[in-house]
Amino acid sequence: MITQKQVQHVAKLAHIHLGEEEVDTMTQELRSVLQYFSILSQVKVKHDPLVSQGVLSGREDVAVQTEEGKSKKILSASSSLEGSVIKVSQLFDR
Amino acid sequence: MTIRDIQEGLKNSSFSARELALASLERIKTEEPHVHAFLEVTGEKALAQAQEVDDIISRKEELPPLAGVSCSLKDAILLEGVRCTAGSRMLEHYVAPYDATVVSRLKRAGAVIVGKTNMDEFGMGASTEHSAFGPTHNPRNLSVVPGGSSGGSAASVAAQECLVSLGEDTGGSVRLPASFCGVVGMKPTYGTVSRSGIIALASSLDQVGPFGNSVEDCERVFQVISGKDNMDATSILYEYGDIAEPASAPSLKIGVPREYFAKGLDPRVSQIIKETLDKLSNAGASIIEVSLPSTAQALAAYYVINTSEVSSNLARYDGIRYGNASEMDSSFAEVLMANREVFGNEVRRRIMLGTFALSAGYYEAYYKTAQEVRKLLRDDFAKAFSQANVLMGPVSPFLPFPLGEKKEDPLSMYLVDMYTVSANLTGIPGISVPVGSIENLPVGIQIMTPHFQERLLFSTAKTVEQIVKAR
Repeated sequence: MITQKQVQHVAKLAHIHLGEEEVDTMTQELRSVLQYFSILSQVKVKHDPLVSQGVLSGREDVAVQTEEGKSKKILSASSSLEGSVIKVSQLFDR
Repeated sequence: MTIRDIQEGLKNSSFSARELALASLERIKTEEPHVHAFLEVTGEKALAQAQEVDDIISRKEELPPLAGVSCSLKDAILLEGVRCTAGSRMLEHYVAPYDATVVSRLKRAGAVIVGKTNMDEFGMGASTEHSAFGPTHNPRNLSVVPGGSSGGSAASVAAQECLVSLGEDTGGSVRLPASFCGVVGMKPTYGTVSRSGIIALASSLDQVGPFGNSVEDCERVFQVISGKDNMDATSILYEYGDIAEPASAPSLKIGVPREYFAKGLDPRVSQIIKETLDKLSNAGASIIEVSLPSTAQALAAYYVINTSEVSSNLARYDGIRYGNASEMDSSFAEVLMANREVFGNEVRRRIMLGTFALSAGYYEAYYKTAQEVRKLLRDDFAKAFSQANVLMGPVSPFLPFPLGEKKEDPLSMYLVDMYTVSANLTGIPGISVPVGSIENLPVGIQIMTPHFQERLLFSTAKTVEQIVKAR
């Protein structure tokens, strides 16, 4: 059974913020779903786990001229734009 | 009116594409206060597209296959220059920078796109109640849900706000709302319709599928949107061909999975499905019982795979590349957490479940095992299809349920998908055809065929449609 500590760890991995009250609710909800998932314990893994839905096909790695202003449109989705660069906060401590 | 009627009418100048578009937009105005199928109505674009069709007609050029056909798009499908929210506050201000491949194909075919429809947030749900922008109401009975996650799409067709719609089906999200709203909805074989420009939920399960008032209208849309796309690495070389004739009932060997009629199925749904099977049998079809023993594990496997792929696909929503940036002076992790606070409860739950299922120590027990079930399920279907040429059964164990009834109970909502997830897990196509209703609550029958047999799927569905109409 998943513990609150595990839930807090998973939240950190997933970058999901859980307030104190929320940890309890989330733990209950996850427990009931994971309880349902326990039906999977009857299954023995025999095959290569990755069942492909089909064949992946690529296309030629060629640079294509796109229309004027397209890159601007794509970048404009970000609210943290400086010129044509997206600004993020520092990832690592110095 | 059907697509065929529209082609006739435009050719004979009985009406213009502009008149059709205006009628659709007018209808949207009167229905929306009750139904709330749309998140965005694209009136100007629609009229411009209709004008292009009328220009083609006045130039006496050949009419493209969907000329003048009003169409809505689930708000997970990118339409250039128009807001695309995926039903989420995370993308509240996101404007699509390009058209999804299916959209450019619709446009080339002369379709008139009237708007973007409501959906459960990021496709997670079976009722459209998890939309960040309010639920959609079932046009047949306003106090019940339209189904989900493509509830807005199904409702827009059922309310006659547009003739057809494109939804997206990951675990039943086209077939279920089609059944609940009394319209036709289809999920194609995985790989036959491009996913380029579709906001991803679970990449090994997602497929775009059409809604229509008739099987043939769905088929005509599928004909246009299907086919290889180099922009989608999972897209398959596939060509549909001509419109199919209805199958002769005696040619049908219908397999009915016994696991789909087990405990949990509402007896009222069971009755309507059995009546339909009786009608088919009376018309000469053979009905045999088949077994899909992995059905019980299939739903659990589906939710493991769905949530795992979701946790990965939604990692990109950091609030930095897409909208909503908060203060940048906190640590990177804190910034991400703050930005992702806008996700609704169901999205948060599924991200948590998926992250857990993929985490060290649990990956084998959950994700790997779920993939094994996928293989077992494929074997089940292969065996069933050696005994029957099509499979039929209910779409969901439940009748369309009242708004609010299942919203706070995640597991209860997951059970709604019991019979639809197997088609997504295995990649086979499925369709829901309306066959009756109880107290204004529509019921659809689900038909499934082996991979790439959409022709058989549509022709069988037409047979069912005819038989149900004949009284």
